Amino acid sequence: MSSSLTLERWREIDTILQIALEREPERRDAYVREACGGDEPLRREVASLLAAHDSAPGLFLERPA
Amino acid sequence: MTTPSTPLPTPPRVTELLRAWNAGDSLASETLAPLGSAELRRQAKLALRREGEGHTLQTTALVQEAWLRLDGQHDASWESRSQFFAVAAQMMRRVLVDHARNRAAAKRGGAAARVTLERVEAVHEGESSLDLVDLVALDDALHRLAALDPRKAQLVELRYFAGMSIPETADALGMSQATVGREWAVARMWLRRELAG
Repeated sequence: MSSSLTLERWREIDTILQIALEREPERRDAYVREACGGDEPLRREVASLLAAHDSAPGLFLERPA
Repeated sequence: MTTPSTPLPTPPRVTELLRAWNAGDSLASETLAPLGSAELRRQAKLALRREGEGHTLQTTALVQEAWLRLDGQHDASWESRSQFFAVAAQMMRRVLVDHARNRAAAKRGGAAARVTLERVEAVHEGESSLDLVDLVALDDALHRLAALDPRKAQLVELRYFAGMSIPETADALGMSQATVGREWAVARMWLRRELAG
């Protein structure tokens, strides 16, 4: 399943994600909402990626191939 | 290609050798080869630990294959040690993924129209099934990531296929360790979502 993202869109998402990671987990959602400024598709995209981070923070790709 | 245990040259020396090799100096090539082989062997050992039981590649063969491919890149202008290892990581990826694809095709009698997915089993006890990674699917996802964000894709190559640490990766890419950490986290998120889908 791949989303078709434009480069520009990806940069937006990437920026928001990297800043969100600097926030405490409990403050992340609020930050994301603010940063997405009502752009619901954007917020959903960011949220689904953060979910991928939170759901398995452990060893995914952490051990080399 | 036999490799006596030679101590690794210090970084400035490697850069000199790379430039000389790039200019076609065959002596430089001979000195670089043990360095390349030792480093690649180390990476190959890391890589093969992940294959679990019944893997068909021997460390030496993997290293030699990766080295042959590297040698074929002779015309590339390599300006630094870090660039050398970036290319080595790329070669490691290709060797491992090609191997995975070939094994999948062989299982189907060589007539595969599409590639089946092959799992790399974790050898350490206690690792959850979430840690199993499908090399072929990962490779496909990495190609898509590279179209979006080449820097992240290369970072994943160095970290995952070459087993480089965050400081080593930061050095190779000319980034701060903090940036590498964040880039890595986002890359993993994206790949994780792609592989789950």
